[in-house]
Amino acid sequence: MTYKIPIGPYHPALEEPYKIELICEGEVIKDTKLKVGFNFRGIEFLAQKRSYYQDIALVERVCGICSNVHTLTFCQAIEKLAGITVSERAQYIRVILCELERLHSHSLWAGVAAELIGFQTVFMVCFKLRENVMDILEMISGNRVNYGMNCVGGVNRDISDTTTILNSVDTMEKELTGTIIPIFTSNRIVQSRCAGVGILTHEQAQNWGTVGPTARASGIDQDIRKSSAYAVYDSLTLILQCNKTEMCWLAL
Amino acid sequence: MEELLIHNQWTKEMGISQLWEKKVDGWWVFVPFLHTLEMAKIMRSAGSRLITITAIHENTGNTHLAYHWDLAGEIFTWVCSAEDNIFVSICEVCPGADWVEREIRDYYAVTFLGQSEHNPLMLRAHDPAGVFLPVEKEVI
Repeated sequence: MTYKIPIGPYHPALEEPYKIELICEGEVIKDTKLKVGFNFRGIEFLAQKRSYYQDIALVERVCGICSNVHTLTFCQAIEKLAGITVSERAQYIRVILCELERLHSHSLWAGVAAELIGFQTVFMVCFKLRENVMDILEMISGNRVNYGMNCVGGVNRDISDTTTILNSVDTMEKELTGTIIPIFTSNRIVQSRCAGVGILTHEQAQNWGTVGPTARASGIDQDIRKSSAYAVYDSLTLILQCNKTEMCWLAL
Repeated sequence: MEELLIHNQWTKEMGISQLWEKKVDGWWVFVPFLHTLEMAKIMRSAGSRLITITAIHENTGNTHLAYHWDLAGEIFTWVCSAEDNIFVSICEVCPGADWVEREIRDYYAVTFLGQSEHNPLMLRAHDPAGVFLPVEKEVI
């Protein structure tokens, strides 16, 4: 018997309002329908009505999780148009912010994924790690969500207290390599939920224009930081994590 | 130079005389009245991946579409226009283009022939498409 399970558009498990309709047969999900657009704000249209400087504050509010990358991209576009060169130190600070944002974003999604598969303890561990990252972001920028770090031609603040930040990074590395990564790679609960399911073949990943860790889990060995390196990424060593097993477990 | 010849081979396969131009952000070619589905097939068979489509509304009332493709880290952009802003959907070969095409339809009232999904992406079901188009003022 086929039946539908509606989730959303407003639901505790969803970070943003969207509606998923699951079409099920027994306990097997046969198809899904997704509806978005519940928070349409017309930001692109608003940006056309403001100056470039006003737009920086606007684009920072596109997303509350990846606010920094939007202002960085926007500022880099203006700098390219105007032929502005950014100092090396400012570019390194931009990279530090980008990596911290990646770290808190990935730990958030790892935590949410853990919660969705019913692994509450890992959810707590991931969010504890994320808190550490956000503390560092607050230490650097004075803010936890919209950092206001990027400006045309550089950054708004310098990083002065590097010792405290490096100590926090060491603690986080231990937490990540000692607890979180082993759980996601070898724990039976995670494997029983994620291994062998959610297959996205290399061909499908190409057809759907997949990017990031999802693409790399399907064997697309590409990372924007390497293939189209921005800021000072071309002078950093980046080890690409790519896998050809095409499972959602590897993406996780 | 050899690279440039390979890219021009794509346009040649479609009987197009325009040449690719190297810019700071990749390769660009402008082809008015481009058969977008054919272009998508050629790009996919070359192993490239659709990044996104951007729309540029002109004062003339035409909307130009820019199809951005990634091939091993290099970006190739086809820019095109269409009569009465009616383009051919590329969802048949790139299902990932579905959301992009629907979003462009919502904002610029562009038609994509062959699009199987007729519901708006960002707007409500009965909202009129073209919310980003300049408001036409009545001149007495």
